[in-house]
Amino acid sequence: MRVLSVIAMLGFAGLVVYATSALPLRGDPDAPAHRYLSPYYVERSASEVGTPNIVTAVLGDYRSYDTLGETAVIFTAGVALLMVLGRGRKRD
Amino acid sequence: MTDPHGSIIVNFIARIMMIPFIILYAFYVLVHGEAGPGGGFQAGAVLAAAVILSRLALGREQRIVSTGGLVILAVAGLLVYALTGVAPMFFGGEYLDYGRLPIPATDGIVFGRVTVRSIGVFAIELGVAMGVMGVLGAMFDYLTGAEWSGSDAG
Amino acid sequence: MIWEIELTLFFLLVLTAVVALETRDLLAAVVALGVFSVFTALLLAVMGAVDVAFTEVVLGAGVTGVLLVAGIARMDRRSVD
Repeated sequence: MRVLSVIAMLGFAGLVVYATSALPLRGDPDAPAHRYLSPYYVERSASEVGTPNIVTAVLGDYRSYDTLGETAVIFTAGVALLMVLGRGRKRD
Repeated sequence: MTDPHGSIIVNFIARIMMIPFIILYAFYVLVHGEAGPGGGFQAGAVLAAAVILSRLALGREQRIVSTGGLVILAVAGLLVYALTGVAPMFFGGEYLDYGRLPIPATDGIVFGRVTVRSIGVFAIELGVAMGVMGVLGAMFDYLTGAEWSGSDAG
Repeated sequence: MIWEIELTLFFLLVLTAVVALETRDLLAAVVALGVFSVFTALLLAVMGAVDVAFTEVVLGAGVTGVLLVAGIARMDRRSVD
């Protein structure tokens, strides 16, 4: 059983490494994300949003729905944990 | 886990040095998130660390916020975010269109280099920080809750 | 950027992951997981993602460790040997 799980894990690791070799290198200026998307944010976020930090501008303004959903996910996870753990508490 | 720690050194260091510094640093991270690394999520996590440290070192009696307060904070955080999104819709904008927030400004600039949009971004960062702090702190409280007993919850 | 540092960090990352998986003591596994988080954060910082590294070191090494220890303190059973 243990040998089997190790073999399966190594197989998946090999698959992931093989799939990663098709991705562009990190920081490659010719990668699609860096050719079209990054220049837009770098050039226009300062004048459009006004926050000097581009990461904050993207997360808080351009991708605002994403951040809203992320906050909702964290909130839902917390509320679910509170409901499960608070199940045995005194109820009126 | 949440009885007050007996050692006076732990108590002193936590009360005088660590917790105030952690809270101050969290607000720095929150406010500075506009200009450098940081933001609402990180500030909320650091604030939650301060809350958890106060419960571990000082005990339940001298905690910063109560459990109910943390739950209210978590709800209020998400509400701040959502209402910041709704507010521009009453002034001709779209959802989460901070440029239409009802803040007196000339050409989108309030004063100095602060724009209306950056104020909106700060408002949602504040909401995220409150939400993350509330959720993480309430999680810790419920995990170590004294009123919880393992037998009757199955 | 500096590939020797990254290689060392990757090696330590895998090592701490194996330690966290293989150790019998649950508290030791939590500590190994915290060390894993710190190495992940260092790796992210080397890659230039300081925001993510900050979140990782606060949540992964700080709050998650405390929450896991609180969970372990509530359990009655030991790890299965």
